[in-house]
Amino acid sequence: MAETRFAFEVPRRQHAVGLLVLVGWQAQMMLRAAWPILIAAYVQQEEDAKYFAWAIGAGAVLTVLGAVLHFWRFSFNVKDGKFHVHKGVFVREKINIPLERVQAVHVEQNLIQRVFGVCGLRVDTAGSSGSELRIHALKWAEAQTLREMLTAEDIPVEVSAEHVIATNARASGTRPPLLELDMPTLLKVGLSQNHLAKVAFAIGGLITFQGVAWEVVAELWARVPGLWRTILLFLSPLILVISPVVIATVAVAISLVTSVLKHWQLRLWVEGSRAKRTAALHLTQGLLNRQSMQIPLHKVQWVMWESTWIRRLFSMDTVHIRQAAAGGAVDASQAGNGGMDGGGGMKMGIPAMNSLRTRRLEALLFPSWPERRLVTLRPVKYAFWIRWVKRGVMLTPLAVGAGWALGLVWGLAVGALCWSWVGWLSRKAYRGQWATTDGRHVSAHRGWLFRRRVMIDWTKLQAVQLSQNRIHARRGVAHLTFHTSSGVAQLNYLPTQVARDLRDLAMSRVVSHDGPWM
Amino acid sequence: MPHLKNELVDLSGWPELDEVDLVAVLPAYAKARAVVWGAVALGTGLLVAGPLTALAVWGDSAPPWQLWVILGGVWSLVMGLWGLEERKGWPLRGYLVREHDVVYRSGWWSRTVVAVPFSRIQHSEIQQGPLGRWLGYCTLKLYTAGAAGANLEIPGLSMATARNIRRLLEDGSHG
Repeated sequence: MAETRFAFEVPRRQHAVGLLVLVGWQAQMMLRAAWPILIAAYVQQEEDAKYFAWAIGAGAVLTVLGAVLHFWRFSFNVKDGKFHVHKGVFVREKINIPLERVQAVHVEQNLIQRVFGVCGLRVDTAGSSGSELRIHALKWAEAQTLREMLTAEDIPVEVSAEHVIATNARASGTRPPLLELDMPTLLKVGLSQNHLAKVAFAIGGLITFQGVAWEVVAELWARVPGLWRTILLFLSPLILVISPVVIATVAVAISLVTSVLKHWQLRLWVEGSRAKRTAALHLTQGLLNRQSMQIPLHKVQWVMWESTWIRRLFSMDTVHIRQAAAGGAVDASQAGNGGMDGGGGMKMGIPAMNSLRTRRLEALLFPSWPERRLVTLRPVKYAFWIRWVKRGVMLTPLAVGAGWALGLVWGLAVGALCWSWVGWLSRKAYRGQWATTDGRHVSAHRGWLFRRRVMIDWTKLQAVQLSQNRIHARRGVAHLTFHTSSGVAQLNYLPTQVARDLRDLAMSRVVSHDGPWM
Repeated sequence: MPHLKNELVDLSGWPELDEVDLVAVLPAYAKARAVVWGAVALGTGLLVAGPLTALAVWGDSAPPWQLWVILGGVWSLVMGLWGLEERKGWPLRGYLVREHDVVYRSGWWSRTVVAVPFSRIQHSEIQQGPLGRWLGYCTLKLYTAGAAGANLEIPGLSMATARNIRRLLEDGSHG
């Protein structure tokens, strides 16, 4: 290695290979925008085909030209504690990002980038949406160096590759990683995925290819001798039994393959010192697309554990960690699951968290938890009744329909069944909804089959919202929403006074907190 | 700024938010909301009644009276509920500026109280539309790094109050 020190002080372009990556990327965008033309070309007669050939040729030229211009005009450097980016073909853009505003830097490598031995870099700031920056091609070591510089905050010194390698070696040598997925665990992760989404995928696939399948079956059928045909016809009801098994197998296989591809050689570790605020959570994973992410510990805003009944069987939760995201979080009302989902942006998802790893991660992300004895908060019983009544009323037309079509007895039976079913479900949901707090953090649980637990630190709150409608006010209950910069934690149906006290306590934690929150 | 370290004392010692202290917003803003309500009521009323009347006068056959009743009923119900919300919600609408945070309450049927600490406000915006210029009020928008629900919008302030809050905020967030 002749050149081991990478100078990022002077403005520079991406690695030359970036041009190829950019062409690929632009072509992809072009294809996405132009697919109606391609379909039109497909259904056209031959004499018109040449126009389409021209159009496609022009598109290709434009793609290459666009990529070249983008590559030519894109430069970046790190100087005076700021990350400078110059870009734009017709409209020149100069972007200066103070390093302390950099929330996370992720290094990724897709197939094209792997072939050329480069990697991409994504920089996330907590600015408005679209403020995420992308560099398409850098040598792996260069990317690591740049990342180290961008996340160093107040030490914008030139970092050498040896230094990075040395730190990496030191980190991996002294401190054991939090998580290293071996093959059996990886397979377990695959098996414990939510297969339901993949079932739809499998059924879709089967329907798409059924035409081909029938042809094959018909051809085979013609070759089968007469006696066997009788036996096969006799056995044909078995298909009804087998097909769900086939679908389930396909779904599980898809889950397995996707998780192996995604989480291949997953490694999670911490590096840096907490005192200097350089401690960060690092994660590398991926077989085809390699990812390397890092989130500084003090920038973590919102953590969610998620488990399904299958994952609990293997005792493996998935944890999602978010820093302040570009474009903020998703509105509580927009997000599904009662606002427990956050926005897009870059987030770290870690599978296979058992109770030991969860406790270690908790200790790392929330060092002062629990600050003192935990207080458990439960929704009032009214939460259960209102849920039951709402769901029951929703299902009542079913009972009315049954009564109208089949008679009163059937109607009553269906009604009773519906109401007891939703009653049971509501009870489970009600039982699964609770929270604990130590006066500084809150950990909110919800769900029964699919359980979620959100944990936040009140010193990082952005706003606290208390809401109740007229009926709630009369029943003395209120909903409380804690907004962080990357998601919310919601406590519903608390007694009004408790909700008010919690809000006041949380607000006083925020205003008495002197340190930075991101 | 008081140093309230990490000690957790009993809740009575904390600065409680007393909603009695809320400051009402300008009556001019109530007027603006009434104007909006009236305009929408008139507009939708004409939109519903216009075609029906046209049908009755120039059409081959008059629309059935039930249609009048149903559409009129829906229209009065929606406008009535909205009017009730505005009428009852008006006295509840209010804001509170404290040493470290801003609080805003709104809504009658569904009441929301949002509290945002000064130190979390990323930027602010004073907005005055044509109605605001005519009636003399403005809207102060305070943006945090959170989602839309974590942003505060206080309508119906006088320009001077909005500027004062903004100044306080600039002093507070750097102090």
